[in-house]
Amino acid sequence: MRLLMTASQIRGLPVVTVRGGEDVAEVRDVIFSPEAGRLLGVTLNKRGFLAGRSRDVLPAEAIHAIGQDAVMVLDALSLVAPEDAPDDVAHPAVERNVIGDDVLTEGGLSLGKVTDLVLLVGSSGEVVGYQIEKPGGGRGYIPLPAQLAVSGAALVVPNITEEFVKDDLVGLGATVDEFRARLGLS
Amino acid sequence: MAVSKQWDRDPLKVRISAMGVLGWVIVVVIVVVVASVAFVVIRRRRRGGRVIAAKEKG
Repeated sequence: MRLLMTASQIRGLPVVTVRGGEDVAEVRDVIFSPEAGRLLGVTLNKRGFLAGRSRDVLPAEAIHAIGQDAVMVLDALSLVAPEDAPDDVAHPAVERNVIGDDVLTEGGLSLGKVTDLVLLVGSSGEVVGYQIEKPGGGRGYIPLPAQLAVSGAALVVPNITEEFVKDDLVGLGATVDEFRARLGLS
Repeated sequence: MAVSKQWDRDPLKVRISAMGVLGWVIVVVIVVVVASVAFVVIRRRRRGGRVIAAKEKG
């Protein structure tokens, strides 16, 4: 089953093993590739009320499924030490947190600020767009691949992105293919 | 002894006692507020919750 979820809905989800049903960790940070448009992995917290960060991380390849109530892995061995994980996941570039980024078109128009990341989840994680707070207030969604550049400060998008700002997730889902076609990506 | 009894009836002592109770109430409220804020901040920091874009390759 595939469903649209935001990164904030994934954060804090328990990581549960399919084989043992054990609750082994909790999602801390979400790491994605803006170029490839996919989830790369997540960093983890230990379980418990005040438990802190876990040293282990969970690369996307080790995720069995992401659902609305839990992230499923085959067993506790799916959580890997940083030495054995891809560098982007083991040592995430924390200064590249996109939440709060200004969304600017290449023409210099502000479309708002990034408030969340929208993913199509299930057995894998595909990034489909960004949730934004519009300058005049209200929520909007822009499809991926929208960014020409992304950093911890700004998301620069093509001018035509303005036409594809949608007010809800359903609208976003419907517009992704059209947006890609307009960009000449499909 | 006489001095003590006089002090017990002294309006200044009554005022100091009343201020003392109020003072303790203020101190307790401040401690609770500061501790709550610190708890929330520490918990948020420990829980994390960032959405990180990986660096572009090439």
